[in-house]
Amino acid sequence: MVSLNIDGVECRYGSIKILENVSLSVKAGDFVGILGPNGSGKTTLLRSISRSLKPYKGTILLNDKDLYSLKNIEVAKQMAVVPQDNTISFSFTALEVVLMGRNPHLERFQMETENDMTVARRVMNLTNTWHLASRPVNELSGGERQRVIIARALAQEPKILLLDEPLTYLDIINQLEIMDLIKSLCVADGIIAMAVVHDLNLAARYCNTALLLNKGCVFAAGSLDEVMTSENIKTVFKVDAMVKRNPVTNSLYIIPLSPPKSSPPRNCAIHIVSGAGTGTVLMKVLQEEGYSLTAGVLNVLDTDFETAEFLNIPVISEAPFSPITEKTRSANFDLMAKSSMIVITSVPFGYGNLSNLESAFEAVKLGVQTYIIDEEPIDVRDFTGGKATALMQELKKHGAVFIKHASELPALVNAKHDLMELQKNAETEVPGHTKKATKEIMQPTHHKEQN
Amino acid sequence: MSDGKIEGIYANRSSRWKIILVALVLALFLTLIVSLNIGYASISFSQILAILGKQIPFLSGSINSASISPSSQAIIILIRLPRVLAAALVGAGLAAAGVIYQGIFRNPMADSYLLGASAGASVGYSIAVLYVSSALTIVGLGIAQTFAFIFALLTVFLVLFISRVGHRIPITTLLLSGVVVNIFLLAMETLMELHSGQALTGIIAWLAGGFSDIVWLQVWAVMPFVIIGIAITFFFTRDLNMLSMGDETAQHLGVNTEKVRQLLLVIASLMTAAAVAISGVIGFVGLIIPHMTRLAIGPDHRILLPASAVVGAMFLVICDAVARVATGASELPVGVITALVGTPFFIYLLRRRKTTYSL
Amino acid sequence: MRNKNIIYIVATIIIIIALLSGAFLYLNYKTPNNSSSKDITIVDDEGYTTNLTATPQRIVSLAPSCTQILFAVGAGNKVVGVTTYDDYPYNFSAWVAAGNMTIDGGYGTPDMEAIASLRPDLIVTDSINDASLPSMRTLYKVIVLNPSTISGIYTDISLVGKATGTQTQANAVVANLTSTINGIATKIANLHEAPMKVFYEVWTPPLMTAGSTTWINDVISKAGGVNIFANETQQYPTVASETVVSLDPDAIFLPTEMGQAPFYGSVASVEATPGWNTISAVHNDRIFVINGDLFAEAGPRVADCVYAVAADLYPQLFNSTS
Repeated sequence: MVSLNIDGVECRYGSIKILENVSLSVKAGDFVGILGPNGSGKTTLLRSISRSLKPYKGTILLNDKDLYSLKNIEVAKQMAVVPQDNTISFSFTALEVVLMGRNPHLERFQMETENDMTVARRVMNLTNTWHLASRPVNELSGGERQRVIIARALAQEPKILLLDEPLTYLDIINQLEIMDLIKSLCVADGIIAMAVVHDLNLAARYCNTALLLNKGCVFAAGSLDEVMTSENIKTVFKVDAMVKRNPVTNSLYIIPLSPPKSSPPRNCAIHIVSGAGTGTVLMKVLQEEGYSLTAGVLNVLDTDFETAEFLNIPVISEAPFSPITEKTRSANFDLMAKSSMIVITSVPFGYGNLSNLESAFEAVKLGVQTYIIDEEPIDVRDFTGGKATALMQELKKHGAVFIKHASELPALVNAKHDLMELQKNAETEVPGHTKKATKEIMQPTHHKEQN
Repeated sequence: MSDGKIEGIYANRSSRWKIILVALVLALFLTLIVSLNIGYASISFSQILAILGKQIPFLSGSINSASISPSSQAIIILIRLPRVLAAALVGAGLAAAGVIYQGIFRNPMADSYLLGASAGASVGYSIAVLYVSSALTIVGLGIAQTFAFIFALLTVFLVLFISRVGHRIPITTLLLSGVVVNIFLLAMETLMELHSGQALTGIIAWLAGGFSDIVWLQVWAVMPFVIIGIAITFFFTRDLNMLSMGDETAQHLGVNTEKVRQLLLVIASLMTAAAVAISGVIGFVGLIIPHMTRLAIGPDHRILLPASAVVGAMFLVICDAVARVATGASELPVGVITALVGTPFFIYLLRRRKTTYSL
Repeated sequence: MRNKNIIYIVATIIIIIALLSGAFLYLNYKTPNNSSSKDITIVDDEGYTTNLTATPQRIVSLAPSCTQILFAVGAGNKVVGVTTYDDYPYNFSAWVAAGNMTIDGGYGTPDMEAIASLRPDLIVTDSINDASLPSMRTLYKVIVLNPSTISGIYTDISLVGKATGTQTQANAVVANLTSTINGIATKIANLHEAPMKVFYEVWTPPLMTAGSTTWINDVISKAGGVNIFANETQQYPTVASETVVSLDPDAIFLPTEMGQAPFYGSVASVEATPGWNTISAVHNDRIFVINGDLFAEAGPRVADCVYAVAADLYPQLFNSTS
């Protein structure tokens, strides 16, 4: 069984350290994803394993033998490399290129045998390139050529397969097929595959171990769950991302969020009434704008609940498929009453969450500015036999602002907040007639918005 | 294309190659014989064959040599035959060197003179003509040609040496060093030509390339370099296939890249230096013959190398024959003929290919 | 818009200036053709017409052949400049040392400043300086001598005589040469033998010989030989070794120049050229080394050239006579 042990490897270009103290143990059947931002040393690591760049310090053991002490041809029989750059300037046919992969197994003067042809055919079928066999390789598309090169590597019948960004030129079906192929080789034939992959989701789906590099050092190593966490991604890639488990593929998947704008925090609390995912985007946007958010009531399986947890927003939660209890309802109402504003999304209302709307109504009567996003008319989302619709009418009568499109909300909310600030200051600072004038200017303009 | 058909093509590849080579070698022999017929003196084919036959020990008894004049015999054996053989050897050597350079540099503009062999040879030749007594001979070879050979080699090794980085010789550095050394040596050469006085005619004529003064000794001198050089390179043609895909790729496929590359460069340089020493600087052969052969036969060096050598030999024998008879009793430099003959043919081949041309 | 107009105007002005300058230069540097009856008009070997308004008093010679002709016709006392190669009819280096002569450059490398300092009113040269002629002709009156036959040499001698006002002496020189050469030719003709095939090796490498448009070819004919390359019209063609073997000359001439190593190596090495042992000239021992300087200068010594060749080819005729 093949094994690869990397111990304390340090690589340099001239006097610049590219990799420092990298250690890793890989056993047969492992599909290692080498991850990291640009410039973190991923390609350099592969090159040190493929013997293109001798480490300044440290050892690499292939089956307990020092990799660098072996002969070229010995290594070529066991290790194959798919490089990043796939240009070929001579007009060899695809089959000829793949047959070159048989070189380590041939004597100096031996022509390729039947067996070699069989191997070539097999790997070309696996990579879906057999139909390109007689085509000159420099006339193929980037993706076709990439697959031919992968076939060549496979033709070496290697025990270790090193791949440097092998999916760059491939369309989605070929990406999946190649990853499937490598995975199956690991599982069925016990080979080791080490791939530098930029697509975290593909890595998460197919690799069973991962190595996360940052600035030339190993930041994390181990199973996918251990390595691919939000914190790691945030630290290394400087991107906020949610890491979830995909129920269908049963693998982790990462949702990167756009880099946060840094807004100064506003001293303003907004309570969000949402559910079924309608509030996720809003939560992020409003949080970015600097508001302190609360949410409720959400059931713990709800997407919005996950988002709120991720964004550290305090949530009043309820068990799934259960009606809202009095305790929960009252906690929710407390939050609403303490907030400066309430936002209600276009969430469908049923008997399960009608109480949220009732609480909001109570809060409006207390004077809390309420915004209701009305993208879908309430009749469509009313599953309470008209009670929700009626509540909506009441809310309108009491000054709730209805918005047609969710995208308009942030601007409105910001304007309202600015007004509120001005008002606060006006009451303490502006003297005399100015105070009167500002009071007039700041009359609520809800006449206009009622329609 | 059906699977069986594809595999069929590849299975028969090696026999197809053998047939191609045999056909080419036969064509070369024919070209040699025909070329022996060409020249100022008219000597018929039967006479040529008779003269040649007399050279072979066991045949000579049975050949009637009455009708052969001693001057015809002398012309064939002492003047034309060495000349034609030299042309063949030089053509083969330059073409083979061209194949090696193009494969190693992965560059269509590479030719045998890239690393300065021609510039070094011309400087060596000029130095010998101008400053060394022409009465000296080394192993019977003219001093000027020996100097040409030595300086050609020295130049190439100089270029290799200045491009070294540790144990490796990176290709870009090699190319640049070659360019710089070439420019420097050409400047030296120009300087010497300006001060050469009467010897200028001779130097210029030699530089233009030709086989007009070839003697048997020179043929024996060049033969081992070319024959052994091509033979050794043949061992490494599969490696050359892989080297032509890239150094790292070749290494990953099991080739000792650095060693093989340096060995092949040395061989190519020796062949080029030997060729230039006896024939002057004949351009075009090392650059275009590998191309033409590749267009016709494909890039696999296992057939490309021997085929290019044979095609190069034929080509130069033909060009030399044309140089001999083109203008009555006087001669044209072979380098002019190679360009005039080769260029249109190459353009024709290029246009014939429907797809865009790349190596 | 305005910018465009300005450009057109400027361009037109520049073109007009250029045309005017050209015309000015042309008119002023064209040799003024205001000839009077006293003028001497010379048409030289290149067809160029030179007008001399008076007998030249300061003549510069740029070739040994020209120097020899000038001295032979009696214009030697007007010669103020010779080349470094000139050594006939006098040892000019002694004259130079004594201050009576100036060197005007090497053969083919005229020193323009030296010539300018001599203020010549006539320059006589051969075709070696063809490249510098256009610029030289803007400054001086230049006559080019380039004979391709022996009678061409006679014409040159007359020409120089006309230019220097020494026609009488020039004619005498020509008559003398003619009779000497005809005398040699007649003697040989009386043998009633077929002319000997001659190969004249001008240079190697590459192997070069003299073609039909050289006076050397004429010399060979007058001396009872026939140049094996007489049907080559190029002056100095490159020929193939096998052609020489095939044409089988009866005699081979190798010119040496004084003070230089022989370009052919040695007679032994010429005999050893591959294939040449079958040549009649080689196995009859008729390889002759001759004075190359003589054969390089087309002048009054042409008769000596004919004699040299004739004496080698027909030793039985010429050993005791002059």
